[in-house]
Amino acid sequence: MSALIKKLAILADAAKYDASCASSGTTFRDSAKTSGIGSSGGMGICHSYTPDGRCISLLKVLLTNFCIYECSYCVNRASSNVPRARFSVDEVVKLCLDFYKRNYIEGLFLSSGIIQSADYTMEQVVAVARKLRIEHGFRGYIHLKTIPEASKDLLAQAGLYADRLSINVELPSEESLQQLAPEKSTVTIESTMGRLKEAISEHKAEKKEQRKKSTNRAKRIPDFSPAGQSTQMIIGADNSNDAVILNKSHHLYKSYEMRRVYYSAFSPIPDASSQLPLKPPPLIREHRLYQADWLMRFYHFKVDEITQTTSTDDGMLDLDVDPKFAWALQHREYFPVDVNRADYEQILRIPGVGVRTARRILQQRRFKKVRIEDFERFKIPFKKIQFFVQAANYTPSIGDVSSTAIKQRWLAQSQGTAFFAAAQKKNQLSLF
Amino acid sequence: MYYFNVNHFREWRRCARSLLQARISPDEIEWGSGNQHSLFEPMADSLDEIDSLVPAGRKPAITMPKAFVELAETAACYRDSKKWQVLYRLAWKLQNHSRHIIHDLTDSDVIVARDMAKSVSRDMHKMKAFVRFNDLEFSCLPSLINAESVEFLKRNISGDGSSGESCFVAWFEPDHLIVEKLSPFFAKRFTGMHWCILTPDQCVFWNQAELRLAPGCEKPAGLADPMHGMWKTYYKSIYNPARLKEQAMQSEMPKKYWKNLPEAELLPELIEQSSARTQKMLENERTPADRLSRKSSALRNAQFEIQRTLEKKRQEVSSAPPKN
Ligand code: SF4
Repeated sequence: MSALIKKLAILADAAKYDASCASSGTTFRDSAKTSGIGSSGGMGICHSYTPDGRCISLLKVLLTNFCIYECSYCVNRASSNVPRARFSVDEVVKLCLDFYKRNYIEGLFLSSGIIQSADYTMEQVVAVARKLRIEHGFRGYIHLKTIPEASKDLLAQAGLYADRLSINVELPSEESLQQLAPEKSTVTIESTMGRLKEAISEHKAEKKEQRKKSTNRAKRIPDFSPAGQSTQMIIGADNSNDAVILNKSHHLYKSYEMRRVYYSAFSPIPDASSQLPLKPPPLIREHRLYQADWLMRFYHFKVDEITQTTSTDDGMLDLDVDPKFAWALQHREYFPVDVNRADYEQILRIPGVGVRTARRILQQRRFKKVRIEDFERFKIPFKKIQFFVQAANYTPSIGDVSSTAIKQRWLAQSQGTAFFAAAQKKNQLSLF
Repeated sequence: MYYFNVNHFREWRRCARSLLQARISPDEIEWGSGNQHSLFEPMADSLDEIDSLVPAGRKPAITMPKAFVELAETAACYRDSKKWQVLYRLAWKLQNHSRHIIHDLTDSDVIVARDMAKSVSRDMHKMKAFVRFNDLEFSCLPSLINAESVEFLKRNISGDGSSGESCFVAWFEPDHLIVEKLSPFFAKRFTGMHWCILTPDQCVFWNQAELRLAPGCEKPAGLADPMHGMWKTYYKSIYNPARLKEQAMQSEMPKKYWKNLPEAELLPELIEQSSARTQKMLENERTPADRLSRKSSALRNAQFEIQRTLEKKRQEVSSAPPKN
């Protein structure tokens, strides 16, 4: 047992720089009428939180942290002076089941350093998933990190057992990749992403087709990575600015139907390479990127609209205010938005108003005019919307206050602990 | 004035239907919960009395919008018994004024009912997350739960419970009365295990075939599990001290849950050591991007070259006209 504990300590430590912990959005399944365990579907469950505010939803481990690659930002790179360990397939399977039975986790997120060859490593990763599904009837969530250089055949197998597959793009440009992760290449990474996308949509289409004809056959068509694919970019290890990063994300969402792009500010590690900048980027940068990402996906912002809001032209997002607020400050002509007349899209552009509030405004309008006091109920501070909203009993005085003044005022009153505590409190899923 | 003592949504719905049919207004009713039957007239009697007010053939049909039924079912798990009054007022308005009122987010009863439902949903979500099962042998069970429940659990095991079969036992303290509503979730997730969840309000047992509900109990002593060490090691190792955000953790995992989470006892230590650990990582000597990196990339390049040649060969073969 104690040897296993030591391995777990090493292989969990090695896995913690992967930000993904999602366990949502896969097919609904449960174990009723089986003798197995596990269920999934709908919202994922966060079973615990560590003091970094991140949730523990999956058992996130590496199969091994030995690696023949040399990615400068990575704690497991070949030259890194860290203790190494390797789990056997059966050890991970047992650990996952043991944790699951105690309700510690929703499932497994398995990744691995590359040993011997891409295919050899991927085979082991797939073997864990196969064992869990086939031998143990495990119906919880499985996320497999895919090795882009692995063979098509192994990818195809992985998709049959996993709820989600991911390949990390790591860095936003080919040059950075060559410099910091010399064994990786954008071409290989993206062509594998393309292959995954195709497999995922083919399976979906086929299922839909069969469902139209007869329900029974549809059931027999296996799911292929039903929760789609995701990826991660390291922030601050190279000198790419936010505009480059967001354009890359946009490309990934559009071309490969990514469910999520995760941003991971590179973090101090026990043995860092001299190729990396001395200081990690501020965590607030990562936070702003997530907010910008959110705007692209759920608020119908175009990528240019977000990246052009920077007051300087260094292509970086404003760290002081969220990107939506920054956009509003630069587009005063768009405001005030009359919340009793405007359509959903327009309401969504108001700083501080999220998807839920926008819907509530529309719902309330059917009964009563929205008044400025109502925003208190929506938990949006008057100070934030003061110059952007027109309500039944409220019209802002426009024009006499400059955007710079609005920003200064907002910062002054939200300065200090209150603002930052609040910014930190919000997790990445409930922005704005 | 009528008094009704109800403890379950089913009971409330039964009462509310009769009361609405007899057009008894919300002001004429007082609602309570708990075991106070003896203080007031028994519920069945007063319901009969109310039912007799309207002749059988003349009772109006009572139908409620689906949105209300869903909201009410969840709000009914709220701990405070003021919920019954709020729900009845809402039902009254829906029946006698407007069916759209359920969508009016400025209506005070809608606001209260939605707030209650929200609080219940959050509690349910947290219970799904924070229940921790302990793997215990059947022979330990008699000291934790009553004989009847032990018998129920034993029904579906191969042996007689004396030879090491295990049962997973959890203790949890929910804010609201959610055990019954959540038990199917646990049964469908942990189907292939014997388990029970004990709480102060209600306990639930699963023997791989059937669910059984029983009254609440006190916190049992001696819940422990051999996996606690592994779990705590994992918790410690997956945490990144360079990203300490205590507030964020506490808003999702408030202190009130800590006492029943084995990993929570690590928190003070982990938080305290964070800044020193981070500082140390920042001060560590940095490894030069050395020979190894060059060697490794040379190897990879060689491998790529081989793969590329192979790929090319393969294509040549497949595109060559079939020999015939
Ligand atoms: S391939 Fe690169 S990123 Fe992945 S474990 Fe190895 S060194 Fe780290």
